[in-house]
Amino acid sequence: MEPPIRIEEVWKLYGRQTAVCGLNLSVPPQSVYGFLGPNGAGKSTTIRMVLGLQRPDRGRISLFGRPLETALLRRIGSMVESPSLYLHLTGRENLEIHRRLLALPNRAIDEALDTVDLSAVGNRLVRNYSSGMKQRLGLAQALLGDPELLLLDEPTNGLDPAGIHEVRSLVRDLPTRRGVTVFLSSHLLAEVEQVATHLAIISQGQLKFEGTPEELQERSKPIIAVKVDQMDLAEEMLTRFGCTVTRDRDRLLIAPEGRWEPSQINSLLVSGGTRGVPPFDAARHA
Amino acid sequence: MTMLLRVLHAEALKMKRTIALKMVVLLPSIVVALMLFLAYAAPFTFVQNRGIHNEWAALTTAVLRLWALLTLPLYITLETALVAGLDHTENQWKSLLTRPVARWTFYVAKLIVVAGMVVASTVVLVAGILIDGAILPRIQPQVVFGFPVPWAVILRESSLITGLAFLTITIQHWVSLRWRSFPVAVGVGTVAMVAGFLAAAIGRQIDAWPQYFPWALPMLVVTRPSHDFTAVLLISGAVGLAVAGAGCWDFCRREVT
Repeated sequence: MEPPIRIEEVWKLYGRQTAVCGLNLSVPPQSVYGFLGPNGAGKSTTIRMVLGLQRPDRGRISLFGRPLETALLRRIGSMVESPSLYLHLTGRENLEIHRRLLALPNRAIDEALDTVDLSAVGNRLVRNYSSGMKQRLGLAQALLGDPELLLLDEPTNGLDPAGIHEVRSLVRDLPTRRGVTVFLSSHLLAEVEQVATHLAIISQGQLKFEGTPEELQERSKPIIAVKVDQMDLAEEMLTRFGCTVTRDRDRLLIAPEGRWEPSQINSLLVSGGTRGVPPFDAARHA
Repeated sequence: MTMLLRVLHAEALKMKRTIALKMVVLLPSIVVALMLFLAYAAPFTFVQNRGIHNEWAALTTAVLRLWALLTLPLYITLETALVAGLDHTENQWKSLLTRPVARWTFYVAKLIVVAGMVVASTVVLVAGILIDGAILPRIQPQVVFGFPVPWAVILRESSLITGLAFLTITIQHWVSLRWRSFPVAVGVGTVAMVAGFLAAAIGRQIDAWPQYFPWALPMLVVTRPSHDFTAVLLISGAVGLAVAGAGCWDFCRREVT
């Protein structure tokens, strides 16, 4: 099965500023793919290019194995940044506009409103909706027509904890209940890792990581570097206490299992008879 | 064509509860109401020759002059800006343009909506002329409207004004969709309207090209009523279609940020 999204060596420049820099990623089918990065990292630009709202300056984007074309958009639903709603219309009328564009039956609106729990307020003007209700209506719009691929850009913006929980449950269940692939962008790792089956991290337009949340956790463990006078003895002691130890020139790199603190490592080494500079945290060693 | 009809159907729903839709009836009604007041206040303005009454022609000319010179250009400016503004606000384009619908249909559908509103307003205007003609003799006995009603003249002149406004509609439509800013669209339309007014005045004096400035074209109908407008109508219509095509091409290739 072709990946719903494949991005190959994509670049996007705004004048002299590089928004996306040689991006490569592939989204597995029926996954919840979390696309993470700080503000200004290039997440929204990437989503816009995937949807055809902007063109990449270099590289290729394919959807379901094909270059983007109008007909493919029928298989895609999206909500980019904030929901796009007509405030002078009701929730139901907002969905009706998209229903007409998609040539869907009338019942599609009732189903979409039910999914996001807005049936009771469907006939209220959107200008009288709370920000959470607007966000949910935007999701309903994205879900119209049962898309196979759903692109959501910061979908929990403006939601209270209950609303965040609802969106999280909805997103988590979509692949199993409807076979939908969800591409979810956010700047909050803690939010995304609760629902994502795969993650990609982008910073300053460059991909920094792509893999599963477990792989990210593994790579994110703190590594402690120690310099001791008796490296063999220290290595043996630390290994006996469950640490993974590697040698790096004149020091030992320790990936402690469990919740070892540097002070505990220090005490262990000193009590074992070794001497040296106190251990310090290393950010990461490749 | 089916796709265009679907988009038109969606555009029609967007117009609900908007000032743009209300203006279709409001603006021409204001014009005919103003004329009714003026005719009531100064009835002898409408008497062409003593003993020969041609109040229908006088009333029609007065209403159409106010409509073509001042109201219609302003109306087109506002309607195109409001219709485009429905999707500029909240950046609806990032939602609409991700639907499986060809981009050109959005451009064309909005153009059809605006042109349709101008035609509908013309119908309201004509109806208003007839209502004015029915009310005026009852409130101002010095004015007598004879029969039959000169339908052909009223319909011909109002249709010509609307037809000659097509070029202006296509230009304003492009400007309104090209720039999201409402003041830009209204500013361009207002400056062009004033330029059109001056061009019509100068062109009439020297009988030269300024009278063919797009915003001046509808005014030709009231300043040169016996002129044959077939050639002007065809040329302005063709140029209008070319402008619509260019605007559509520009719209289709633009990125949405």
